[in-house]
Amino acid sequence: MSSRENRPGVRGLVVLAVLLLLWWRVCRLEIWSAYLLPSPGRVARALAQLWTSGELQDGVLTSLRRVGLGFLGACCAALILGVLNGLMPRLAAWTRPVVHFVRNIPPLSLAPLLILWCGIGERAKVLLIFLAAFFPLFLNVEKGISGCSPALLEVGRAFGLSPWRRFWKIILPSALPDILVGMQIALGYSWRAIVGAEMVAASSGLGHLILDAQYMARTDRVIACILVIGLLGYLCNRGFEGLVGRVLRRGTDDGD
Amino acid sequence: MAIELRDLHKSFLVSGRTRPVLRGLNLTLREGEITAVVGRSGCGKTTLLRILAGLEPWDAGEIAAPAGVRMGMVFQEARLMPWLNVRANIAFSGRNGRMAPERVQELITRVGLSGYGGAYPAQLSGGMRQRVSLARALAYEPDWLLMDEPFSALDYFTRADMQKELLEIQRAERRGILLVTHNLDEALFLADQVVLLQDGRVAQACDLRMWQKPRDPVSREAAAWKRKLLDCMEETR
Ligand SMILES: Nc1ncnc2c1ncn2[C@@H]1O[C@H](COP(=O)(O)OP(=O)(O)OP(=O)(O)O)[C@@H](O)[C@H]1O
Ligand SMILES: [Mg+2]
Repeated sequence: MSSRENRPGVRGLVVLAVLLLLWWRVCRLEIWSAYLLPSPGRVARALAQLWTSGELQDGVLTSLRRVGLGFLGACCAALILGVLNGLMPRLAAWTRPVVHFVRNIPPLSLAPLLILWCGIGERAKVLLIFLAAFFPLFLNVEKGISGCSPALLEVGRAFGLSPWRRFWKIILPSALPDILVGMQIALGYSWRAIVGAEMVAASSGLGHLILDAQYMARTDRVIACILVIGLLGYLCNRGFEGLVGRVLRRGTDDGD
Repeated sequence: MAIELRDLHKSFLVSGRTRPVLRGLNLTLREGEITAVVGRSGCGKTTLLRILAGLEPWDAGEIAAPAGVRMGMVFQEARLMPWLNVRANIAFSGRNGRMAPERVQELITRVGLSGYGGAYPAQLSGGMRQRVSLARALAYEPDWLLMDEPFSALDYFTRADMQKELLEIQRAERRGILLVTHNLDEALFLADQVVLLQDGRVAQACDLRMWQKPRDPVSREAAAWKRKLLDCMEETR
């Protein structure tokens, strides 16, 4: 039982294989032209071509670097501001309206402004990812920190822990599951934002590769890139899920 | 390190009205003794412990305690850190959050949880969690143990074991113990002094110091002392 539950990937692969088979079969029936729906074989060849020319690796690395920079920046800012807001409810009352106003603006809609202000260099793109990742993480950090159980905080006081140590030994660990979930969501948002950003304003990266393929009417390349984006996002998420799972397995329930 | 409570007052504001809980409580906790507090649910036993642990301010009156006296609180609920295992939960109250592993192990054995050092609170029963909570308070090396119904979730035998441990803690380590309990037999077996809390005051105090420990709970002597305690408690009802 447990060994099967530990490998949900196997069942997922079966579904993937069926979809692939379906795709292949539909292409064989030639309902749509190869331009509208290229066959798996053509997409695989396009992928190989992208690989040998080095465009794929270039695109992936460029996109990854942007995501990494933006995400890391967002993590730093969101952790600091989220902790401050979580610890000081009165500060949160001041910032809440602004946060909820800004977070409902799709980052991509800010692209024209960012390009105007920062040019089409790296800064605009990293900033865009920063904006996409910041809010989900910030809100989760704030929720986790402010949601710390008063009963547990009292244990810290009863045993003479300083406020500083109460933060490190009680507040932060109890917020950790929320923080990790926030990071996971933020990473997903970053991925979505980067491809969009690169399609709007970039001459490199996976998003640009897709746009380029569209201009050249290479649907097979478009699909190849989309698959790579999906795969990378999936791998990132899996890694994070493992981390979150390990923290959560310790239990958040004290049974009282 | 005796602790003297003089004319202690405490009230809470509940839905706009002040509700007095302690109204002129006088109590002396003698050094190295076990004082059992009994009283009806809601009479203020937990409040009294919280005040002594420094978790709750009081309104008026005086608490005379030696400077730097260490209070080890065992809460009514276990209140363990769910993300720490039993070992880490016990070491939590050690100085600077650190403790020698041997000392932690010794405490684990003492509360009867050998083999559970690596378990997380969610994997323990209610009574086991309470015992971890007791071990954590002991790890603090307190002068006084403040215990709020610590054995309420234990079966007869484990409870008896824990009571013996408490006597040992009192005897060998010279720690004072303030124990809230609903169980008169427990008070009778452990306490040097049993106080009845009622209407915010100590309504009765029964001195059991003349009865030598360890006590046999089913001897003729025990029956006589129980009679005395019951008479004592009955007087105010
Ligand atoms: N934080 C609080 N705010 C308002 N009222 C409180 C608070 N804590 C306790 N009280 C009130 O003080 C009274 C005494 O509560 P306390 O918890 O000390 O009772 P207790 O003797 O420990 O009862 P039990 O045996 O059920 O644990 C109760 O009437 C309760 O409503
Ligand atoms: Mg109580």
